[in-house]
Amino acid sequence: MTFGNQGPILGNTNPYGGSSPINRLVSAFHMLPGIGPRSAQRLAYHVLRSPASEAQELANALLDVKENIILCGSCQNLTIKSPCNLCDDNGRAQDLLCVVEEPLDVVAIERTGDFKGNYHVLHGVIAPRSGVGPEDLKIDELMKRLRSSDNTFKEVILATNPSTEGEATALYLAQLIHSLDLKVTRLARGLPTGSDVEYADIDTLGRALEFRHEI
Amino acid sequence: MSPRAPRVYSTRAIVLGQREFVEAAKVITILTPDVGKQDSVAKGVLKPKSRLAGHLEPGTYCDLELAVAKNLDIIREAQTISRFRASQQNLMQLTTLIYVLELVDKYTVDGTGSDLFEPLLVTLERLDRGINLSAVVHGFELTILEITGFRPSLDQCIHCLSSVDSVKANWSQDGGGIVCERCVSVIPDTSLIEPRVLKVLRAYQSWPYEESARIAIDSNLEAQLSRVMHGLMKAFAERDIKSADLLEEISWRNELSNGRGMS
Repeated sequence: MTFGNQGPILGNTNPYGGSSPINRLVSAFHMLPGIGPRSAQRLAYHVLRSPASEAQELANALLDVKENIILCGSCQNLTIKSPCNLCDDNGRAQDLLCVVEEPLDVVAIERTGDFKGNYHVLHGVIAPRSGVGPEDLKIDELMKRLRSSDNTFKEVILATNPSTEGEATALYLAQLIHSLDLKVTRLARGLPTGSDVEYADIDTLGRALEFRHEI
Repeated sequence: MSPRAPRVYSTRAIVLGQREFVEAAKVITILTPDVGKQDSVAKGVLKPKSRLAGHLEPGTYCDLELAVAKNLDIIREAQTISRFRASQQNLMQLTTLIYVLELVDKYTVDGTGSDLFEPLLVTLERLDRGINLSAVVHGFELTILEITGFRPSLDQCIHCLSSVDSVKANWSQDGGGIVCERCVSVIPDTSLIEPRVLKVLRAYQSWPYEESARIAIDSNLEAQLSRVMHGLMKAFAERDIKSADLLEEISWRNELSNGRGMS
């Protein structure tokens, strides 16, 4: 494929025609979250310059993920088998459940190496402005899990984001779970490493002071 | 020739909502006293060390400095004035806060709603105190309807304009008010409205907040008030208001578990 002398990609709105393969690829990348038009163009350009085998590998990986990834019947995380490896691991604390918004939150918490309990993924938060209510999340699955006769959890950690919608979801879940007589805790809030006290918002700073600890 | 410096302006704002944009940026929907509702861009707020992120959560009252841009203005600095922290720690208050923000969002388009700024700010402050929630939220609903030109008719029949006694009133949600006995046959989809519901709504519409907040509201009456007002707000907005359903569910759950509701 000749590509290099057709003029700059950046700057021209549509140098290849509306339905050209390049345009389709740029549009496809642009659909991904966090990818703007320029990043989409850069990625498309990278794919064009890569060997065909790499492009084939990318295409196979995309199809593979859609065909083979399922939700774990227990924790609702993305997995290739149900129950997933984390739920299947008897070495993890069976009395501790951490509720997170998204599968990537499991990855982030696992990276800390500090949590050895189990997870439950909600797949979102209550966000009425975006049309998401409690019925759209994996809350029924969570409650079934906690109400089940073989439930061993004694503490549920609510690890939704410290945003307005994350707080609303945590308070909503806390109300439901309290009725089961289980201990409900929330992730602590404070200043991130490397941040500046001067620029901290009053809510974060207030909570950091409220939950200060002795050293 | 050096490039012209971007025009910068400062404003107070209440954050109505946000959505993800490109890279680590978000589009922040704000309500300001001068422009009303507007979308603006906050760059880098998804990064952990963002200096803006904590100041731009929905329901935050803040000072902003924005740079005029070709499409959406860009938020350069943000400083929280109030986050209404008490409201963030109580499910009913937080859901009500989300509801009033959604109402403002649904009842305005870009560049309108500047006259809703002060009523919204006062409502968020009252909500934060956590008392008289019924008067706070229904008073705000009626204020929005008044300002946006949808003032419901609670004293006169919407058809013949005659005064209607509260014990003989019918309710027309789509007509936006009460219907007298004589006109019921010509107005479709009317239903009876409880006299005490109508009396309280009349008080919320015409009395100052300090007086209407003194009215004792039991949970049964509050459930009826919410049903009438939520139906009216959805009918005039001509779309679903999701947080209204959530609010009703939480009230119902509170009623079941505690035997008490909004007061």
